[in-house]
Amino acid sequence: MGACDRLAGTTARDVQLSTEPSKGAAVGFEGVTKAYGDHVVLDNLTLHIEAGECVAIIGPSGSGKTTVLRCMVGFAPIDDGKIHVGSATVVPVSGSRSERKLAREQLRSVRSQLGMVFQQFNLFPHLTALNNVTLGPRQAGLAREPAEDLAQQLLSQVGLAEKGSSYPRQLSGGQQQRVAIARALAMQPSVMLFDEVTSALDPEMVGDILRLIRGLTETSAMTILLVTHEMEFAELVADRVIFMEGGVIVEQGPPEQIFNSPQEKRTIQFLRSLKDKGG
Amino acid sequence: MELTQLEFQTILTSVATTVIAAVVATLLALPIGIACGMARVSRFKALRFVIGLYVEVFRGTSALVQLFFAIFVLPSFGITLDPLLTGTAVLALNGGSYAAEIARGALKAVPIGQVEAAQTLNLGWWTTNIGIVLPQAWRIMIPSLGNVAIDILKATSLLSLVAIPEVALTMSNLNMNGSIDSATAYVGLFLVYLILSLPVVAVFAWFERRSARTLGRAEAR
Amino acid sequence: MSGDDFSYLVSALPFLLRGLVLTVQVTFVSFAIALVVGLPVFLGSVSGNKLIRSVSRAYVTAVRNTPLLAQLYLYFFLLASYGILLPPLVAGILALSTQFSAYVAEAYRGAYESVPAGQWEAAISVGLRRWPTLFLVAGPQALRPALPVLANILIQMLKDSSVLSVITLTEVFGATKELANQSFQYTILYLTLGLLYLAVSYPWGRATAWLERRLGTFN
Repeated sequence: MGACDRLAGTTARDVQLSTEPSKGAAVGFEGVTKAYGDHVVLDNLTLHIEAGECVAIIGPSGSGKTTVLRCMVGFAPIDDGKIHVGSATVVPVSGSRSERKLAREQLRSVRSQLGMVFQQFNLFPHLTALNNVTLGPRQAGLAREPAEDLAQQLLSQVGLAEKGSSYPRQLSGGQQQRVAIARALAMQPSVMLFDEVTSALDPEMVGDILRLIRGLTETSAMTILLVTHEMEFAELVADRVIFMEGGVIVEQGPPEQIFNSPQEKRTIQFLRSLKDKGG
Repeated sequence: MELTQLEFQTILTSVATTVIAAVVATLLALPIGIACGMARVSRFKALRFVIGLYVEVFRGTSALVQLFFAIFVLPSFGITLDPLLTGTAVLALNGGSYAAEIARGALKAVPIGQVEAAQTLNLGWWTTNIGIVLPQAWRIMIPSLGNVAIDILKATSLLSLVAIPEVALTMSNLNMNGSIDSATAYVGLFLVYLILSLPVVAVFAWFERRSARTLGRAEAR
Repeated sequence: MSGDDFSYLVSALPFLLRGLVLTVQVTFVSFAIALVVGLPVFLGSVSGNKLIRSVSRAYVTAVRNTPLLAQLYLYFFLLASYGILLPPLVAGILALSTQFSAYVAEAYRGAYESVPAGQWEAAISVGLRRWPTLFLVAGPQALRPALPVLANILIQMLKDSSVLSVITLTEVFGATKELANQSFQYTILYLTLGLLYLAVSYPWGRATAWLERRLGTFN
């Protein structure tokens, strides 16, 4: 049963997520290299993503696709190259004290434009769903009431209107991930990063999450990067699909090209291996 | 501050006493602890209770109190032994009670699946518990047992309070009778323990490395 | 135990109990100080600055690997020889709290490391800076596993306070020693002493074990 079956019968109108008008930001990778010791995870990666574009990144494990996201947020410092997010840039960590200070400030600016949803949800277990969502905005200076209103609104939009006072441990995996999405949206990012967000969910819950994300792609202007295993979903929502293997982009293009008429041998092999697994 | 030959020898002897007491007590405490730990997770209720009593009493009171009890109270029950022997035995029993708790926790931390697998293979008690469970529990125990060893070393200083001639007694005596000044005596004493602790730490670090080599990386979850 | 012994015990008890009160007071004060001092020591051990980390590690090693007695001698006798005469109570609390501040710092460290990396990443992803994350996200989660460890440290301090009798502090052990030297009633007195310690440490130990069981993880 594929993602499309789960989404069958829904249209963009069914899922309306209005995020405050956040414009998308363009994302650019310029010759980015990242290695862990001898193991090269990203190899001279160059990539350009338009503002508002929805890009799906697919590939086998170890291909570097998750690292692409992690480097953007600065969880994995890059060794070489630059990453542009909107008007700010992520650079390799090095140089003098003042250079590093500048780099840190740029990273903060990058992060303020990003929202991220994790495979393991990473909700704050000691806070209610509502407070999970309000924490970021409040730290950014928003007062309690407007923050709670915003949080409540977002929770309603992800379908958890009455779950605000529940704790993560009282919620199912799918519900937790929805709170995580609301939490990320509360920061009004111009770029949303989804890191295999359905991989840790039971199959029944995957559809809900994919529906939510699809709503986002269709109703907001945010740039969206999706690392995913759900090929049919990628085909459905992405403007462009990127296939990575061994730290390089093997092939990229519109979903019709990648899934229906792939050009590269490795792409064909990868897609075939998924079919063999019954995916 | 000139020390006479005799005084210098006394210091060296007392350091040796400290080391011997610490080593012997530790060599006794660890097996005692592991055995008691195993007893506490056994299915014999009476055994669990008796050993439990030992552990609670020795852990619930300080080594100093136990020392005084052994030196001053036992004689009235006819048990009078060489003070150093008594002192070392007390340190061993005290350390053993902590080791027992540590061993108990470690044994319980070994995944039950290990025992179940052994049972399906019809392995006997000895093979299962000594050959399979214990090595894995040992790996878990090592850091905490290292702390017990250090604690025993530190506890040898208490022997000075019952007139056993280890290094703390010697240094403070020499200071009291004016042979060495306070700085030499007390900073020196401090440094002696610090230096003696280093090999203990090294030994247990070696245990940990060796255990990691044979058992591999942390168990898969 | 004869009737004489029993009546002796009854007469000795008030003195012993006063000593126990002092024991508890000294322990609690030292514990409070250790909790406070342990925090910068812990923060130092996770600092980005290499020098601060080394200092923190050196402090912990120096204080944890040497006996309380040796440290007590330093604060009481060594300082006295330089003219700094600390009252026994002060020296005792100083020694007890500094030695255990190292254990407390290690407890904080263990709790801190038990917070999953994903929490830090999530906090970053919603724009939280380092210190707010420590206080609002990591701290609350670290607190729960830390409590049983800290409770154990408290009971350890209670028992080790007996060493303070060396500098003439009449806490419960010192009180017992004094009476024993006068009356030679070793058996009764040390037995009672043991029971007094157990009366405090055993219930506390059970409470701590209960705490450990009760404080399930957040998930």
